Amino acid sequence: MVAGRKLMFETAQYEANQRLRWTVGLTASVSLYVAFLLSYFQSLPKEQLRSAVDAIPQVMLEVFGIVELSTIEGWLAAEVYNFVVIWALGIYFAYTAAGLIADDIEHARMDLLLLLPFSRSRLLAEKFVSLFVPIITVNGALVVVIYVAALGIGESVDPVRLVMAHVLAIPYLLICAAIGIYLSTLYDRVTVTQRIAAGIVVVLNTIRFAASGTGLAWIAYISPRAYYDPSAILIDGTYNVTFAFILLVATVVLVLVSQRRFQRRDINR
Amino acid sequence: MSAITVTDLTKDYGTVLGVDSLSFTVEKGEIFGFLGPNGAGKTTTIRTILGLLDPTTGTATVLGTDVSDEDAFIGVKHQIGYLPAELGFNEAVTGNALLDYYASVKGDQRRTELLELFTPPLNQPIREYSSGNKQLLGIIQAFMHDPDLVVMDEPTSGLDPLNQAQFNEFIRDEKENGTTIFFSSHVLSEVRRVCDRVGILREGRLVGLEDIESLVNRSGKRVRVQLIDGESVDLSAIDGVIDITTMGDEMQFTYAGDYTTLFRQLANYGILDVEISEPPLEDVFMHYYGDPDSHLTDGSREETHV
Repeated sequence: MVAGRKLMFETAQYEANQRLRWTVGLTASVSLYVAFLLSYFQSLPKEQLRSAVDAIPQVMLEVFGIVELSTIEGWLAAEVYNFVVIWALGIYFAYTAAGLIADDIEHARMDLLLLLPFSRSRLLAEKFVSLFVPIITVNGALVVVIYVAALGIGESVDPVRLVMAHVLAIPYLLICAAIGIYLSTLYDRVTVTQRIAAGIVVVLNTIRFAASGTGLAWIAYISPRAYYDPSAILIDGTYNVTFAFILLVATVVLVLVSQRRFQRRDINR
Repeated sequence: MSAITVTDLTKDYGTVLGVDSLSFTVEKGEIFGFLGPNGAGKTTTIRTILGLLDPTTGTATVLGTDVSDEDAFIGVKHQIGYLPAELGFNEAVTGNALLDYYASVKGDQRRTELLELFTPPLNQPIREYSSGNKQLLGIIQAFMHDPDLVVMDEPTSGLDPLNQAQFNEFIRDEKENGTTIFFSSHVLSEVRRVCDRVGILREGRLVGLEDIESLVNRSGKRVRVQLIDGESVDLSAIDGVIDITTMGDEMQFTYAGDYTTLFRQLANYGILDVEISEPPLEDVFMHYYGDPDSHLTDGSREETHV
């Protein structure tokens, strides 16, 4: 560092640049898949979708967040938000974040990074911040793709509800990423860390249903999913900003705990 | 103020003892060689000195700063260059992109000058680099921000002989310009050529700390000689000749003395062939620091890259 050099998120920028192609690929594939889901919705007889909901067992409806399927909002909530955002992207960002520290350690890159003139905490924070780029890009793109695709099939989605469904998805995806980065500071082997991260998101996403009716219903509230309900946002137009705040606070706490853990550990190879 | 001060440093991994009660000082402006066979604990020492591993006991001070005080250590990191034994780079990026990133964080005052000396293919992704080119990139990143102290762990591994020679010359020039170099190696000849002073590590313990001249005098050379009627010749009377083995008319011994004297003596017997080489490091230990097995604990000492 030259005297007077001010560090301004160079690492976050570098890391985000490394993920640029990956971000574009992720956004493009998710957008295409969502566009396909919407065109599929158009081709299905709505009466059949209504009876399908009646035929699905209640527990499955809850696990997969299905309220209704015959309206565009209900279809989006179930197919796009529950499957794509909560499940697929939740697992994906936890999995990716789980590699942020462990991958550099396993592949001997961490030694050089830690000799750069910044703290371990800062390195971890900037790596975490670099994930904002794909998280925000994919959510921003989906708002546009869904709005336009819905118009394209002769439907319309309330733009405010659509935007809120994605704004509130960001804290949900951030907490998934925070779970990943915390695990990344615990283990040295990246594939193990990533599998554990994905597994934890799956468990957290299903734990509320396993616990329901057992007197352990409170367990539902350790799941990030309890704080993000796209069905309520899209179908009823209701949303809880406090819940989003809780997810953000939990994210910050988990990142702080990860920093502390990373600061104290040996970099073993 | 010394460049590096290590006091009673121990790193215990639990199952193995990485280094045991090390104490030494590296003075500013010198090239300090850290010599030892693979598994001796060189990398553990270096990584502890640089704050990558927490010492079990003892302290390490680099450029006047205790490395366990992270905030203070950040303040001197821009004066430190580091070339690890195992170089890990993001393989997807080009050498230029990587150097740009390092430059944005620690500066690159000497980048252009270094690229005139060392020429890895900077426009290619690092995954296409040979190990030698990766090492050159490692050398560039270690010196690009004009550090006062450069710590290098086995820096010449992977370099071809031409690059090695160029690197050794570069290191000597750096020293002339006031840079302190800490240089680990398991190759005695390399340390002899480059360093001013040497610390010798074996089995996690410092077994020697001396000027390179003393080491050269003590370690000697391995001489293999074929003499006319060699079987009946006794060389043990020559000063500085030790550890003679005779195989037919061929003799091998370690010699630490004046070559003119040796050749005058040998000439008396008629020389058919002679070869002088560096003694293996283990031989040096054997002769000057005792039996190599004497410090073995349980035979499970870790490799250097721990």
